[in-house]
Amino acid sequence: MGKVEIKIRKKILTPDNLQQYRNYPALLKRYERNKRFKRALRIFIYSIALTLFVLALIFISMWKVLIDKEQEQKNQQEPKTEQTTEGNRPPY
Amino acid sequence: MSEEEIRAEYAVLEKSRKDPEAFGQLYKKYFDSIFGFIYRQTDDEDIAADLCSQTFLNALKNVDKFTFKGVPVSAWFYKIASNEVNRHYRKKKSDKTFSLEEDRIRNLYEQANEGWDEEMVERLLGYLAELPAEMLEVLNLRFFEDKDFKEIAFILDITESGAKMRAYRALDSLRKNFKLKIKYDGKG
Repeated sequence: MGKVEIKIRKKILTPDNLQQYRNYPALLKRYERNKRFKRALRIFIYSIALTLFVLALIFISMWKVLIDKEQEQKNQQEPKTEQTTEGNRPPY
Repeated sequence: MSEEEIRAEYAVLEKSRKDPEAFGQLYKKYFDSIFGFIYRQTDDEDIAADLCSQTFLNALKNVDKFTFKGVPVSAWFYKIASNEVNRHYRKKKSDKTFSLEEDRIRNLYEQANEGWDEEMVERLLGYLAELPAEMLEVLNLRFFEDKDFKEIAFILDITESGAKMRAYRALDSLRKNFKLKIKYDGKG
């Protein structure tokens, strides 16, 4: 901890002096605002997480579809090549 | 404060979890003492008002986390207030200020049957300024806020024997240097 400055004051705080600072309704308002903000932030974070999850699902399914298509194309091409090789094979 | 009274305050806290309006009772009861505690460590009414409001707001926000630990609810408020003051000084990067009421210092001298001597007061202020801040915190809570060592330990997050040790060392030196008749329990 750093240095400390000590002062002596004549002023004594009385409940009447402090009346101007005592404001529970204002504190409650701040609390409600804070609660609303927290709730909104939570909803925002959850929706971002949900969006990312859905995007990830879409990406994975698209990737799977692409792979399936490639596989299908390969499967379609393979018999053709076999036929051509069969056709081009010189007779013995 | 009896254990029954402490439990009654915790019951109010329980109620405030569902009904924040109920917290108003505790706010009204402790506002002045928490304000005074902060004001003594900042010497600025506006800053004290801000920090005090923040203290009660934090308390209300964390009302679910309060558990009965055998200390009055006010000890939680003092703990939060103490953290707020420390955060304020860390942010401001300035030296900590303690502003002590002249009346309280006068009382000490009167108890010691000494006259109110400006030179002596200056010497006392110089001496207090040399004390480590953590020792001053204990003295502040013990002699200005009338907290017992169990509460002080809770507020400052130290052990009860640690709190006693800090107070004892500071007082021992005060007695030797200034002939002040302060007892260990804070009475003259």
